[in-house]
Amino acid sequence: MLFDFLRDYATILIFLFISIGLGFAFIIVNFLFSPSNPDPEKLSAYECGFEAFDDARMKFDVRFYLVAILFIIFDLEVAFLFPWAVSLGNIGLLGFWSMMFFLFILTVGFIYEWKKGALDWE
Amino acid sequence: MLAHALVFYLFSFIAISSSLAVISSKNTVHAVFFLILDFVSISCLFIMMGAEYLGMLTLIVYVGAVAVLFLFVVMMLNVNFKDLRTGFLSYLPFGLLIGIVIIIELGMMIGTWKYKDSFIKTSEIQISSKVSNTEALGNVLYTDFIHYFQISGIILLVAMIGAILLTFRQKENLKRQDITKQVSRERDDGVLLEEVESFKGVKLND
Repeated sequence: MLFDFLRDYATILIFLFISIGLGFAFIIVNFLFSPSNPDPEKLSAYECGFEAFDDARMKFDVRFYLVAILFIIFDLEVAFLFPWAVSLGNIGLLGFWSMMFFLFILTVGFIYEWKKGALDWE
Repeated sequence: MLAHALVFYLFSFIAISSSLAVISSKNTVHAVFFLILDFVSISCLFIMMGAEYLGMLTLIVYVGAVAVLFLFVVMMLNVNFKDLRTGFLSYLPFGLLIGIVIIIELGMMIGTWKYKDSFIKTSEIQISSKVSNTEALGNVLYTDFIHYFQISGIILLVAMIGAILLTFRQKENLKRQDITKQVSRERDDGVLLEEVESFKGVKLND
């Protein structure tokens, strides 16, 4: 039973192997045939003729993080919707309203964040 | 059968070696990329074990969202490794002590661990070959386990409100567009008509 199920994934596996092989092939062929004259100047950061002033990594605005967290929460909400949609025919009225209540709770949170202005940028 | 085992061991090997690379790579961004590779190979393992929904969920949640959060953290923390290494020797005894305690605890836990026969009642789990993985989950999650399902919804709500309360700061002196305010503004709010007598001028109190 498990192997029948996995047979559907065989095409994805073949696809995966081909894409990995192709990716490595590009790197290896580049490595073999490209001209190579290493120089430390080629790797140095070029900033209008100056040396780089400081690290390129700088502090992010924390609101990117807020957007990502809110995205995860709604991502999980959608993940709960998939099995519900598949087996909606079997679970009856209780299953339907159970999901409706779940969605209602998260809609309360959605209205909260909308009214609070967490979704606006500036 | 053999092919299944080979591919399974291949993905297990990728998972273990990439998780080793996560903790040993010096560049934190590279570490996050190895973490993503680890998540992907673990989701492949889930699918190979027949847990299709769990594998897809790992892809959606961990690769799609959690890895992005890790990248944000790595970017935001602005870690300077030169500063981190300076206090290495002074922290070494204390760190060793904690490490040894954790190893002893792990050893005690693994050494005395025994699989309880009645832990999972396998007779209660009915696996039918006609029902797909996702459907089997959906058949019980929303009715038999409605309690846990609703608790998970409330936990998500708490996470949402907590994230907003912790990170959201309304900036001062910010001009926002408030459409109700714009539409309900009347002529008298903006315009003042004053009858000015000649040679007296007018005094406006503002």
